[in-house]
Amino acid sequence: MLKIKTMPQTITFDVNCPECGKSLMDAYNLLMDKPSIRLTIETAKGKGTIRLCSIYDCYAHTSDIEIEGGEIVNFFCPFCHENLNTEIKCELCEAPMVSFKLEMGGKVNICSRKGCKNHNVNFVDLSAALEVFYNKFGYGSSH
Amino acid sequence: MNELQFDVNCPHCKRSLMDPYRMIHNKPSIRVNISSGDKSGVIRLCSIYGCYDYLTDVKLKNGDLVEFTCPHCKEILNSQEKCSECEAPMVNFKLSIGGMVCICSRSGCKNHSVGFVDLSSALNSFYHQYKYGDQ
Repeated sequence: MLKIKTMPQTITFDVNCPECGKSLMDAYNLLMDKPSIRLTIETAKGKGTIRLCSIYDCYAHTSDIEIEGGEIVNFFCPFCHENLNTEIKCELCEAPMVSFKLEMGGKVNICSRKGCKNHNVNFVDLSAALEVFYNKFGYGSSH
Repeated sequence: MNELQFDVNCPHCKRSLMDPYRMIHNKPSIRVNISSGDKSGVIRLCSIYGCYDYLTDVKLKNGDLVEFTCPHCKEILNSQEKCSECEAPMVNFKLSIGGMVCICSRSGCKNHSVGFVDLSSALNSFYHQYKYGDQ
């Protein structure tokens, strides 16, 4: 029987703080109809809160503090207050990458420079991650 | 689950690192040059994801730090990223399907990961190349 592979419209990730393990998801403030990722940030203007879209490849966000284009932002966990900027440098602009732990296993990295769109997703147990994609997002389902 | 085997390229010159003439577990091996201390030679890694088997003409002890270089362009493949388990530099290989595979450069450390930028394209490749999702 011919099987047709279907692609999901979006891939959303639930993320946790890599330091304390607490969920960073904010179910009360949606972006693109999905729970946002809530973080504390520090910019040249001071400290504030940013909410990132949890859809992979979506760059939408809201912030209560102004961020200048090209500025490097420090990201902190709102619970343990650890700095989430890492020593890994963005291969596009050399700014520190920011790392979040994936609820499904692995991590998502984004660039800390406003306007830089570099990002990636990493898995250790790739087979387990692929299973989740099939079961949660419907990848590979046949009709 | 299907067995995942990756073809990898040098992240610098992009040339293939696969060696179809030396198989490990019936798959082409990944051939790179290595040095550790005053020793240098060739290592062939198993290309099956999650398999740690390799062949090398260099005597390595557990804990040795190893520098990996491309056999074509001679660029160092050890990166600035540190292993989260032992702090040794991670070694990057470019995936032919898109993305990167990282392994730890310390002999005996099993830390490794696979990363993607374009996740949808990578997942498509898994379905079509590895037949994931087929019942």
